[in-house]
Amino acid sequence: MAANQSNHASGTGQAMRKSRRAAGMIGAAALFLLAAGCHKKHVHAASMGAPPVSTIPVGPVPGSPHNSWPMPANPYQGNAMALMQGRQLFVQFNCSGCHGGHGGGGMGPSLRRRYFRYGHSSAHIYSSISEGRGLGMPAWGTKVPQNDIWKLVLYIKSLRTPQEPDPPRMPKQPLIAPAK
Amino acid sequence: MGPNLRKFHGLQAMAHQPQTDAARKVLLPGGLLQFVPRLMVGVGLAAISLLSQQSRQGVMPAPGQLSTIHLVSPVPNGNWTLPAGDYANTRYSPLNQINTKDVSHLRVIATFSDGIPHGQEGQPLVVHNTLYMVTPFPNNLIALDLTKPGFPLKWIYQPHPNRQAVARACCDTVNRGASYSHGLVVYCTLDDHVVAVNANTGKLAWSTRVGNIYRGETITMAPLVVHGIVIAGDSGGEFGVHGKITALALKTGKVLWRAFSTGSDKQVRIGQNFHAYYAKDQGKNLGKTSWPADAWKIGGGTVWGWISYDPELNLIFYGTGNPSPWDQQMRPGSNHWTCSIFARNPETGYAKWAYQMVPHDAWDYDEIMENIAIDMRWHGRMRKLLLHPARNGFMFVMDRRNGQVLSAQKFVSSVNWASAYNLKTGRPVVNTLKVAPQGKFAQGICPSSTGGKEFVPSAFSPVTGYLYIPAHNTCMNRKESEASYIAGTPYLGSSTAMYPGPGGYQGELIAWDVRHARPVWSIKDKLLPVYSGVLATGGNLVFYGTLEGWFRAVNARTGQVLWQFKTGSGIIGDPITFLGPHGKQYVAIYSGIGGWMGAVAQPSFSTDDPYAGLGAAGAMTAIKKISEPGDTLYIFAL
Amino acid sequence: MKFRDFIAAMGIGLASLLAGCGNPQSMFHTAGPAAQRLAHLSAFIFILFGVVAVITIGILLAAGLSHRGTLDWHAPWNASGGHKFVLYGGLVIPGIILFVVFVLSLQRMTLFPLHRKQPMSPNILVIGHQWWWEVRYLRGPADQRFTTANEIHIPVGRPVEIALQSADVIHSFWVPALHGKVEMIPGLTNYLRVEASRAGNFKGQCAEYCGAQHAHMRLLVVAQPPAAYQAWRNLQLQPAQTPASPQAMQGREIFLRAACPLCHTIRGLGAAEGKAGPDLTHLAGRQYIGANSFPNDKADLAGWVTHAQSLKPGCKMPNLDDFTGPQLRALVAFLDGLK
Repeated sequence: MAANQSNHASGTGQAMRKSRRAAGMIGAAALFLLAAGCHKKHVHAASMGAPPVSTIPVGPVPGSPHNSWPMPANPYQGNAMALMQGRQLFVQFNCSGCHGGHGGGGMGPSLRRRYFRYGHSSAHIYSSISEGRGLGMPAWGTKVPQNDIWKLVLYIKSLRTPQEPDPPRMPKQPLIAPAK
Repeated sequence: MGPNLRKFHGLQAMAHQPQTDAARKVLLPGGLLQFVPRLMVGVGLAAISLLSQQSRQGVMPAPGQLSTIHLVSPVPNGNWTLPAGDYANTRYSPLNQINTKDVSHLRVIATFSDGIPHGQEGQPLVVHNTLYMVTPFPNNLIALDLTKPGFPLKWIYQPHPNRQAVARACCDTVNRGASYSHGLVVYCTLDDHVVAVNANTGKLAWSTRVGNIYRGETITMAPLVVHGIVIAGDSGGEFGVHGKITALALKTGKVLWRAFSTGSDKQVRIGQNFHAYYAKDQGKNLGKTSWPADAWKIGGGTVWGWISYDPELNLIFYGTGNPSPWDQQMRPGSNHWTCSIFARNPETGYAKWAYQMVPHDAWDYDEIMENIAIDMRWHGRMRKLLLHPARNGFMFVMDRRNGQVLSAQKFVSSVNWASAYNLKTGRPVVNTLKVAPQGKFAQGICPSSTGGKEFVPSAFSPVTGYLYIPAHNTCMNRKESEASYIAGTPYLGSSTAMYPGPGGYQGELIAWDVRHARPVWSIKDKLLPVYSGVLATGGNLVFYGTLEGWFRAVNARTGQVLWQFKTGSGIIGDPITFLGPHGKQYVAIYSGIGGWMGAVAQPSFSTDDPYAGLGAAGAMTAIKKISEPGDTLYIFAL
Repeated sequence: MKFRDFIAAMGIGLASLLAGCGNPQSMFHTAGPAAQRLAHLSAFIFILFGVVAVITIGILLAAGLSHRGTLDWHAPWNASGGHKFVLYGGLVIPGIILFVVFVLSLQRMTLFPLHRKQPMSPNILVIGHQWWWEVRYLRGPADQRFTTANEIHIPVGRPVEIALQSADVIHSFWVPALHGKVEMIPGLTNYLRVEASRAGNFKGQCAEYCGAQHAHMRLLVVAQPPAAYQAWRNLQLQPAQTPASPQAMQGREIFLRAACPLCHTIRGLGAAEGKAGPDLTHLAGRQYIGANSFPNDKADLAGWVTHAQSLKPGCKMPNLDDFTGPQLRALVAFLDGLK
């Protein structure tokens, strides 16, 4: 009986050790997740040594055999959080009013196509947002902080890709009976 | 402006002898016309129709006209000098050389391309054997010489408007035409200038800026000239502008008065003589008190449609556009005087009456539609009527002396935002399920924001008594969210996606029997809405175009398509008819797809986003495979 | 668990409980009939279940002391007379108690009309945003309506109906001294009736985790005597004051030129009326900034403008740190003058 009891006790002891180990692992995982959260980049484009955006050429660069002008890359590349925020800013700053709810076009051209009149690289799109364009695109660079413009660029570049947040869906068409 | 022209009108009222002499007698004292028409021979009634419009002694009935109908202003009988042809906006011409019997022989006589890949709305003018066409942005004025074979270019006037205006035009960079008066062609440019051009030489007479594109104001509408006063509205209801109409002196371009659509009674020009018929429209400073604090300043109510005029009552009639922003929750209140009809004295600008058609609009039902003034027997007695086929899908018949609604019937059967209008209170019986709340879609709202009918004007034939309505059958889902007002950018707060309405068709030309308030016949378009204006003629014909590009002549009584011609692009213009040299009848139409819904055909739209183009893309996915943009004027004759 | 840990845990628990008893944000220190009746209910339930707990623990102790050994000795089916004891003690009595509590709770819930067939006509609409509160006053004719943020003023002794919505995720509206929690759900409007029986400042809190700065989504309800409330209302209806000093005047220009109006509204400036952030028309009249997270004074305003991302990381307010010193002072002078 005593043996039986001690067996029982050691059994529960094992179980407890196991559960402790499990708890430790969960804790470690949580810590790791927290740390991962801490690792989130706080990017300040201006302080990252990106060249001033006004030097982005829209036309060919004279005297150069191929167009190899260095273009600043989007500091938020691959940042899912920034992509979501880009989508929010797109609506908030009334971009969607002109360029369509999901960039399909309107008063301003569609952003869902590959064709961009002033270049489709991230730097070119940044420049178009920041400086404005001749047919009425406002120059947002004087108002919107650089980081937010890069988030918008990230969103625009994601259109029609699997990464696009909140992609457009054809409207549900309910059965409509005329009101009596 | 005053005395000089008044004298001039007095003279004109006396001058009842036939055309040419009368024209000279009248023109010379006024001293306004710098030219003597070169080819007045054989122009028939051209000059008299142009010059006797102010005659208060009644108007000659059109041949074959129903005895129960009385025309208020002379119908265009040779020339086409006003956007709708006449002041009353009937778009009816008694010309009958082209008629049901010979229309099958109609053929193209000349075409003219302006090379612009944007929508060509509106209609040309024809005065003294010259055809004037206003192009979409950059708003060039082109004069064609109708006396020479092929109708060659006579001159071109280029106003060079500010290019920044392009992105502030909500629904393509269109222009809806010009008005002619006293030797001047007057029209508006997209960058808010009203310009007057010498009709003979093509030289600018004056140019006045009446708005600011950096606040989102543009002009696309066709101004109307009444008694030497130019009346011009504005666009920008999607940008939170302060909607208004401006009156300018025809001679000098000086601003005479301005009447806003929102604000205090002083700003709206509501004075002592104002009397609204319905209690809901009575009260002091409604344009201010029916809005949350300061919201009326950015409340829209633009005037971008058609203005009509009744010379007998000396009143102009026009409608105002949607309130800004689209998100209705941000602007509690009835939002006077958006989506309303105004009757004003053209000289003073003071309102006689007003009626708000859609109180607290939640669907973008601009009521800038044409207001057709006719006198007609209505329930036993002659009444002064105003016909208004509304964007909200109801056909309004009103008493234009006081703004009483006599009848409001659905002309599109799918309409469900309201079940009916209460004629005692003037209020619609709104289905609250179709008012989109914030953050949640209201589904199946009919009609969509583009309406049961867009701005494209209908035509009224005094011979059949029918109104020919270019109608839509489009519904939408809509969700609202808060909108930020940022001057010069859209002020919407709404996600709208449209789609074809029930019944398997999206467009319809309806012949509407005004007296019995019912449709007589209709021609349905399966894929696309009908987006062109309509013309009715004394040849018992109705002309209209489709977004596919077909230009059609239809039997006005039966709706049978008698002739059709495929033009180069979708048609969103309004047909006109006129007499050329030697008294020959012509029909002209613009072809060139664009406008709110048509612009989806342009390469700058992607149809995989149904929310593109303010939601129009969802209903227009088919158009990419049907039509390409590019403007051409087509002129047809037998 | 070691005894030391147990004491520590208890200490933390007790401390947090006691913190909840503080004046401005306490569900026990009530200031309105709804919260009071809730507090009564919770006191009743506390006592009731306290008694239940004491009895239960007593029975357990008695059982534990009277029966020793292992399960091998006492198979449960051998327990004589246990069936009735389980039936009454485990089912009937708890059932009755829970039913009473259920009925009482239901009765208290009628104080929070959550859903009605007929749409109500609320006095105030509160919209939850990540992470602040938009407050729209709705009663009266259209031109008597205005929008403010984060600070709700109500008259003492009058029931106020509040509609609750959300612009993004699920939030929960809770001012413990006045009422119970009500969820704010995107696409749905909930209703709540609030009444303050005495004047005072009552703090509230978003009570549903809503993202990184959930803890900084705070709220202040100011209950005022009707006359003071009316005076506040009249002030709110006015457009923003014209700046008094040249410095503040310069600050207004800076406000308009900078990013500010893209997200914030100051009624009366006319250039831009952003809705992404709180309405600032009468900012200086409010007690706190950053959704009641920081005091509303010049130093905190300047800190908020330049380093919002350090004070409230992840919020929509960017770090606007390219002002010069004089510019920042001018801007703050302007904001501080918006009484």
